[in-house]
Amino acid sequence: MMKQWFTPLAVIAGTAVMFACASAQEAPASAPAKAAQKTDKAVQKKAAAKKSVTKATDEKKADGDEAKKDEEQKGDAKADAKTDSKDSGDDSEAPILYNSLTLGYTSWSSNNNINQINQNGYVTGGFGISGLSILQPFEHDRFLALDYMGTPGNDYGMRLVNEWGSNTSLNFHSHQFSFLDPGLGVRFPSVDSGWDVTVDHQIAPNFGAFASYKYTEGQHHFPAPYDQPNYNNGTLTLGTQKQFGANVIGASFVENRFNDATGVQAPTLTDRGEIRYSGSWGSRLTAQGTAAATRIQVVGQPDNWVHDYSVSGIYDVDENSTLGGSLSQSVMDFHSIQNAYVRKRNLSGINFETHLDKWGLGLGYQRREEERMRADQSFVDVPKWNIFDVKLNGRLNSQLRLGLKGSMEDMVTTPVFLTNDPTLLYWNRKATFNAKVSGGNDVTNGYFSYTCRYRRNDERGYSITWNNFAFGGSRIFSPKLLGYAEFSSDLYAVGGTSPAATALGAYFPTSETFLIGVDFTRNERENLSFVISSFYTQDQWGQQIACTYNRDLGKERNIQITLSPWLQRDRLYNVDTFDAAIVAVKVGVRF
Amino acid sequence: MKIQAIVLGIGIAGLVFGAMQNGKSGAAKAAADKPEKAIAQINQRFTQASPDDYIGDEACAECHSTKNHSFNGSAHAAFVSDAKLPLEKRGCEGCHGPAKAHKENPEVEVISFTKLSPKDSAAACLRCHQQTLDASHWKNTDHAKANIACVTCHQVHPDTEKALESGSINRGKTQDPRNVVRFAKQPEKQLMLKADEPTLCGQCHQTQLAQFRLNFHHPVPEGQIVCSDCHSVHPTKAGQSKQTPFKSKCVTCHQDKAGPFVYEHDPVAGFGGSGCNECHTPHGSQNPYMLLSRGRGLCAQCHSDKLANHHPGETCWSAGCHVAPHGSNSDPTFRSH
Repeated sequence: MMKQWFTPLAVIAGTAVMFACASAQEAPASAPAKAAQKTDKAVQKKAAAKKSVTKATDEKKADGDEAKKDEEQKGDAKADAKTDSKDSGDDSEAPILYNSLTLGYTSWSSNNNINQINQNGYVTGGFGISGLSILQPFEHDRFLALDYMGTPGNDYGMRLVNEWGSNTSLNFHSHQFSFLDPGLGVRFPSVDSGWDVTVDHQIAPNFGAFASYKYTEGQHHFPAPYDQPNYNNGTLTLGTQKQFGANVIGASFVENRFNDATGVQAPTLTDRGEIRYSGSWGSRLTAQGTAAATRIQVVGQPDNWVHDYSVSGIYDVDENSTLGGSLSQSVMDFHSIQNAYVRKRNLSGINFETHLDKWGLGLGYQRREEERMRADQSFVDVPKWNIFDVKLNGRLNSQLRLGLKGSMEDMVTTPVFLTNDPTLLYWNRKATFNAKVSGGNDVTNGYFSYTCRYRRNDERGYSITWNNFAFGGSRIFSPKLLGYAEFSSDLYAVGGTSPAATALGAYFPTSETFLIGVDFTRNERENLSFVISSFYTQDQWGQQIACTYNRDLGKERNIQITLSPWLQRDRLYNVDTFDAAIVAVKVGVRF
Repeated sequence: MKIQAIVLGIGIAGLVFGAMQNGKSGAAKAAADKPEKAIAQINQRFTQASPDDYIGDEACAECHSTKNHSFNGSAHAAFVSDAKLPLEKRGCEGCHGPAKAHKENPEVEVISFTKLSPKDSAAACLRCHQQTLDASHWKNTDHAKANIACVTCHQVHPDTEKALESGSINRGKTQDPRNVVRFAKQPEKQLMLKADEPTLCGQCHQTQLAQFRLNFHHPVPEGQIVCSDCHSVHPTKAGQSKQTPFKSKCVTCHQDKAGPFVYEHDPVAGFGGSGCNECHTPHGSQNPYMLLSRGRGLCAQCHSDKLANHHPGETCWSAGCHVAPHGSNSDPTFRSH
């Protein structure tokens, strides 16, 4: 235990020494000194502005102009002094510093089922690069930007952007992250990784093309009987787009190769070609259409095909109102499938939206039809749905906004079931509703949201309702202190007369999440944030405290210290219980 | 017949309402005719300008040094300073229009984005960013319909250099100490966002933010993925838009669940309907694997006849029975892959 806490304590002690040194270096300036700083900053800022981005323009103005403008600059200087006080004492021109490096150290102490805390991200601790940014602005016809974060050899993320002139660019991303199965016991980390590269070229004004390749890999370690996916996935995308006045024509081709190294799933090759058009007629009508064909080749099966077509348009009825419509169709040709499957799906819709003063109203209707077939291509049936949606949003007064959204999907033609139990498996009605009130002023802000999701199966005689209530707010108590809090609750209810309704109710636990925090800004250089978040369900509860201290050390250096005790309790079996304490220090510099 | 009547009714209501609005909105029209509110006239400022109407950044900085300096620290500046760009796309005047007249008489306004309507503001940005998306695609997005402009999320003029650093206005809402090693696939600060994505998106989508605090969630608080890894905020140049089927977003990472399978499980067959959402809550859940319910209750929502009398166990798959609920190539009841 001593050993577990020694390192964090040493880090805290070291940081305290740095903090003390930094404080000693930067004692508060006297009022006259501050005034002098402001005047200096006016000249300094102007000089910096002249230096930095005006590479393309000739420096024609004589320094004498500066004196003439000094009076005007004083106003700006007041604002500037706040932002740039960290540069105080430096009489030279302040160049723009594009680059930054942040190094971090993390220490963990934990017990019980630590797999739980690592199920979404596995961080080994120790030293790492929290952030490295290199940006080379356009010079010699070239722009370069690099971002890297993570620990070399472990989890990381990286992005590289390289531009040649204004016409050609290259984007590269790469990442790797790992996580653990949350169950109790020794677990090997599962790893997801990948990279992608895109080259973009403007062939001529209003005519461009791009090529992209993306590779992802997943090596997962889950306990039996779950899958142990070990797959890789390569996607090549080629595209081009040409603009003719208000019309745009584009085409793209995507090829995806999926391979499962465990051999459980067959290798799959998917090719998709698409052409699309969008355009405007007059100032009021815009429309777009796409046509696409997809071939899916699974080893050991005949080729599967999907054809997609869609047309949509929006007509501006007037300055504030639009009328939209859409039609789309997907035709699937899956020869290998033996049970009833959807061969054709049609979706059509119309919607109207308008704004009147401070209110917006939207009304929409969609019709969905699915044609189901068996593998021998014998017809099964055509279930149909009507979908209505409505939304209303606007301002109740100068400080409060209201948003209402609702949608309802009704099955109007029920499908036939040829399974052992011929009772309907589809929902007869699906409905959602959301109401949200939010608003505030410069000091206080808040929101309240209610969401309801409803599902009903008439033949089986039950319905499931999910209600979510959430509300939160923030308040600036003083120029230095901000506080905020949020609460969210999920409640489930199963209704109906069938025996299933009663039994189903046991499987939908309720939950609550709660958060409260403060941000304290001691001065322009120091900031402290403290937040407690917690969740409660019928089976588990957990609490986490995160306390973060930021300090600007001057001369483009800064430090961040995070302390976080964390605990979770499993009320049922204790297998998901854990305690953890995390200490992290980040030191950054701009250059 | 009933359906056609409904469709026709909505259409007619729209036209009638629009016609009424035409009569009522004289004031709105007058406002729209103001030079700074009409995008067509904004474009005219560029197309009708001569090279002499452009005065360069240095001249702008003489009065607007604060804005100029803060802008210089942004990634945008690195692009628009390219000397090979045409005058109408270079420097301050690339966005604010030719400024000679404004310099000679400050009462002649340049294009001010704070005075533009969200629609016109977005259209002004799209003068250069058409490669990312075109106006007709943007117009169809929910964000555009909700009067969100580019500058609602993107910060062209950082207020301070500190604001350039991602997370500097993060109020801790999604902070997770495991985020000390942040490895989001797309580092965000180069996108000139006002904050990191969860914080920024969460300002409006608060309930989703709360769901991320539940025990089982996608690793957004940990910084491993960001909102835009799943949500297409802008329709992209590849033609993606909100019409993209829900499932296709999930299988980008979970490719082994994509299918098609010889034996499909209907709720996730193909790429239509609710897809993965039928069983999972993607932002967060109190149940393992972000499922809608715990244990076999998930399957029993539809298969209620299997609730109590069918081989009792914790879940339908954990005892090694229906281990391939996303689809199988070998067994019609998903008892093997």
